[in-house]
Amino acid sequence: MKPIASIIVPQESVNDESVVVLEMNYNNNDFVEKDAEVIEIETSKTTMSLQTSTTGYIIYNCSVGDEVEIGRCVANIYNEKYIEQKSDSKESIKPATEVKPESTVVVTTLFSINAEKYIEENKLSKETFAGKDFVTLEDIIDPHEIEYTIEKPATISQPKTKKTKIITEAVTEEKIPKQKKKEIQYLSSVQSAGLNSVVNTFVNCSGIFEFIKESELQLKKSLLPIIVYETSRLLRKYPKLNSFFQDDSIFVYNDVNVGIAMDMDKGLKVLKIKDTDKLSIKGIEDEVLVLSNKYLEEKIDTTDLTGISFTITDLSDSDISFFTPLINMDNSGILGVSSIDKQLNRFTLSLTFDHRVTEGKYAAVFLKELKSRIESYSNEIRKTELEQKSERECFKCHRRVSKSMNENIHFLKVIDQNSNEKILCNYCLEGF
Amino acid sequence: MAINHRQIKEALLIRYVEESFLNLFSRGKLNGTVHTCVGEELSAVAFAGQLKKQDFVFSNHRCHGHYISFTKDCKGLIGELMGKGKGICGGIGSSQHLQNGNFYSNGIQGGIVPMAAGHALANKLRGNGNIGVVYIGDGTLGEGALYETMNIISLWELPLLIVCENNGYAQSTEQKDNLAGNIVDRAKAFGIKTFDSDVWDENKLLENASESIEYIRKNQKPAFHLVNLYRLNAHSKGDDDRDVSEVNKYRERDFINKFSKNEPHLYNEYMEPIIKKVDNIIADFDGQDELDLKEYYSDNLVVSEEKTWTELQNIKQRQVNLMNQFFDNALKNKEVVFIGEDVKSPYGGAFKVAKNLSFNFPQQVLTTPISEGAITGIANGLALAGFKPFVEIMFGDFVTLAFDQIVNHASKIHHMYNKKVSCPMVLRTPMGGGRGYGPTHSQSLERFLLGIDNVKLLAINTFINPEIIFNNVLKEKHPTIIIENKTDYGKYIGPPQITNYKFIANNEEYPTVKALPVLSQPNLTIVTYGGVAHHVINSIEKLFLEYEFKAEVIILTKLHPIDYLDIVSSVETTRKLVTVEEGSIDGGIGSEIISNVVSKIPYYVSTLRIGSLPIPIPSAKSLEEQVLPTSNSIVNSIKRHFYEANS
Ligand SMILES: Cc1ncc(C[n+]2csc(CCOP(=O)(O)OP(=O)(O)O)c2C)c(N)n1
Repeated sequence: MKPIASIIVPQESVNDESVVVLEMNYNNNDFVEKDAEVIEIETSKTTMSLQTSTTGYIIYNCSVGDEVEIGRCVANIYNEKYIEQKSDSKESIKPATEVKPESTVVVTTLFSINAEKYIEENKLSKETFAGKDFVTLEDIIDPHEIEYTIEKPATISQPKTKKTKIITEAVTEEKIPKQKKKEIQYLSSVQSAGLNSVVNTFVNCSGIFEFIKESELQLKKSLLPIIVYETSRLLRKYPKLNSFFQDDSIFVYNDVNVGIAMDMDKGLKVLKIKDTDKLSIKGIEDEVLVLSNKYLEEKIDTTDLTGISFTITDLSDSDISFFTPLINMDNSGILGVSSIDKQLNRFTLSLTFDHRVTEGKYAAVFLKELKSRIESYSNEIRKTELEQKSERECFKCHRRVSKSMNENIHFLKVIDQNSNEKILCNYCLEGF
Repeated sequence: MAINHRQIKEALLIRYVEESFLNLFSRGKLNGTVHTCVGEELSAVAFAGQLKKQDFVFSNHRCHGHYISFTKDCKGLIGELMGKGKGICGGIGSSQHLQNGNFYSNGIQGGIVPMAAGHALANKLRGNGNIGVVYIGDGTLGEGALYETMNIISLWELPLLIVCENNGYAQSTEQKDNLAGNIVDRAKAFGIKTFDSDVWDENKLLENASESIEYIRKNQKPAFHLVNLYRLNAHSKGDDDRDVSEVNKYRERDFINKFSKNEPHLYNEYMEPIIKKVDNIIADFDGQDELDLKEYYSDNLVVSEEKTWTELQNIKQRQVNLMNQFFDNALKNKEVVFIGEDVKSPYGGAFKVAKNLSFNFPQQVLTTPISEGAITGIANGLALAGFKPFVEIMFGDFVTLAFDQIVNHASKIHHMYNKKVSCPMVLRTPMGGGRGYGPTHSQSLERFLLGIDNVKLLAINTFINPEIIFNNVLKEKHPTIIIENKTDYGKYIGPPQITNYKFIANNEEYPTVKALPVLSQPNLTIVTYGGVAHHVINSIEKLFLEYEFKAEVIILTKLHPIDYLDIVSSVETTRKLVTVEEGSIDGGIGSEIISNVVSKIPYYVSTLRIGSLPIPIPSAKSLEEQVLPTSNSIVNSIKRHFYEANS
């Protein structure tokens, strides 16, 4: 059966790719008059109703709450009552938030034994995890994995700031330079919502510089390349920090382009390291050097300034113990690097994040992992890892506790001549 | 047949060139060593010197005379020994490793004999009537490769003349201390026609040599020619403990010494241009450069390019059938040869890869005696002659018997002859246990085949259609070893069903397979290959359910050289790397992979190697299961290493 008319989502705002269905005013197969308002939708600007252009029986192709792409048909009008299942036609509308595994594999959610136990004990609903492939205990307690990805819209609407002028006698007005104005505009886009929050952590940096000294890195005193490197990789795992909030949606960037805030007497600029997550540490360092030269020589292109998905601001040479960085426009997070406390051999990392996009727990888990990744560069950690491992081996044959696959091997704690506790395997005890 | 004056001049040239070498050596102008044939020149003149250009010669460490008599090129030889870039092999090979046209020499006693047989087989298959000579010393009568080959050349009637230069010594060892029985009787025992000559009756030598050459050319059968002679100089330089009176006795009998004494005019007349020519060549080379390392070695790093990954499909065919189909097709090319033990149909090989092939291609499918060394050497010789040989070693354990041919011949040929020739031989063999065959028929020895220079090491699996791999192997210009697995032959090709996992492969010549969670980020990287990959795949679910690991499994097809990009980028997210191989782990493939990955990334990665226990694979079922890696032992090791360590 062919419809006699279709109701299509119109393009109302240049930036909208989709609208949300708020209400459906009729039931399927209801008779509707020409010009009847049949469905309520919400665009980024406003809510509106769509009308039918003809009289007939209506069949909806969507449900309340669906996000429907512009140009999609939300309902059809037929000459007579429609008998087929509407679910067929619904197939054609894929909500933009749905996970699309590019694979033909059918996903059936698997819960680890621990996850299963936890769900049972806490009487949770497994439904919550529908659409996931594997659910671990961590996924339940710490659900940091994002469930959806959205393409970034081609253009981004600039938030409109109303012009109000304060003139009082008690102050002297000083015109803000153009540069500063830009900065304000840039920062206020996220800050103005006032829903930002900060998490801080100390990073122990003893031993890292030894690593850098031995490495091919050029900047022997800077941790920035390592921090940028690890951050960019973690952003893949924590995509909510590689996104931005707008019009009640979260837009996740497809690429990781970390921006580095630079302020060396030529104005604050955030410069982009393109595809940061694909570069090596050395590659990142090279890129930082290239960008700072461009900055100093004032040869920055617009491409160096746009498309930044996350920002890092390094104030480590300003002798500060910690600060709260401000999130840039079209970002949901910024990482601040403070100076190293030489006595305690540590420095602060501060992550400001947009609370509309994610929560403190997510940010904290991110920061914790970043911290441990950075600390893993320490030559000392490498050494102690090895030492710990070697402790757990037979002191005679060096057979490792963790490495012995044979179930017949046992280890005993023994006391040697010097009253030191040692580990001995049964083979060495019994002799061969 | 009387010796002619061209032949006398050739003998004089050989002697003067070699004396010049000794002279250069004492002046420090020769690097390494020289083995001169002073006193033995007539053997070179008689055999190598009486061949046709299209014939071939394989020689040994004492090869200068053979080289000059066959190629007539003393310039290339002198440059080579002086180590110059313009030497015949760019100074790479020097004294013992020469190649020019159909002339080859190598410094492994006995190893050249099966290669020469392979070259003779190529001539026979082509039906071109050409023949070849392989020179050995009497000391080399101790090498097994010789007897494996004598058996085969007699059986297959290959047109090859073995010339045994019997100078009574092997290096410092007198024949009475290293040889039992009678020399020619050895050849006779194989049904090979024998000839017997010596250099002191030069005319008879030339006549006999010519007769043995003609015998082979006419009958297309092998022959063995014993030539008694004496080496007047040291084995190489200054290492001579022989009785001076013994040596002097032979100096007096020496043809050239007699000639110079009896015909001083002629001698001087002949020597004058020789001296001039050789001295000029030496003077010319003197100031010349040695080869630049860049010309010898180019760092052919594995360059990772953007790869396309596609999901694997089920092919409703067993691995062994697909391999069999490949050969059935490939053998339509007359220069493809399938060689191995018991490969003749109806038997068709121990694992039936060769099923029916010998019915369709009786010339090219050669069932062989139990002689892994010889058949691998024959494959090398075939490859040198432009054929594409596929050797089947019945069980992987037996590959050790072919090791000399792989490492000292196949691997070295291309570079040691300064890249003028290459050896595109292929060796396939099934590794792996699980069938109760016990200690000598179950082991996985691929770690010994890993990292052999210029030899690709591949391992097929049941995820990728083996035809893709074999078709690319067909195009390889260099030696390739293919590891198969006994338990895989009967399996169907395609991805297994693992809940929420997808199996993808890239579009490389030797595709890498990845098993990935469809949606989740993996938190453990497992690298494996070949037959044991099944056990890894079967451990995935348990690893998740019990220990919350979402493993990314990378199944390599190319084990040497390895493209590390995929492994490194996986480890970047997981920071945990496990390798699983079927052999025991020490000095294994896991060690190689881990050391490479760790050197490519600066942060700490936790690593674990899994493999068999370091003992021979037992036959008893329950024991065998405990010694080999299984999905259970893989899960347990991973649990112990990563899970328990953390909790
Ligand atoms: C497989 C192998 N073993 C040992 C050697 C070391 N080696 C070089 S020449 C030689 C003696 C060979 O004696 P023979 O075959 O009689 O030749 P000759 O030197 O007498 O010409 C030996 C032992 C070698 N090159 N290859």
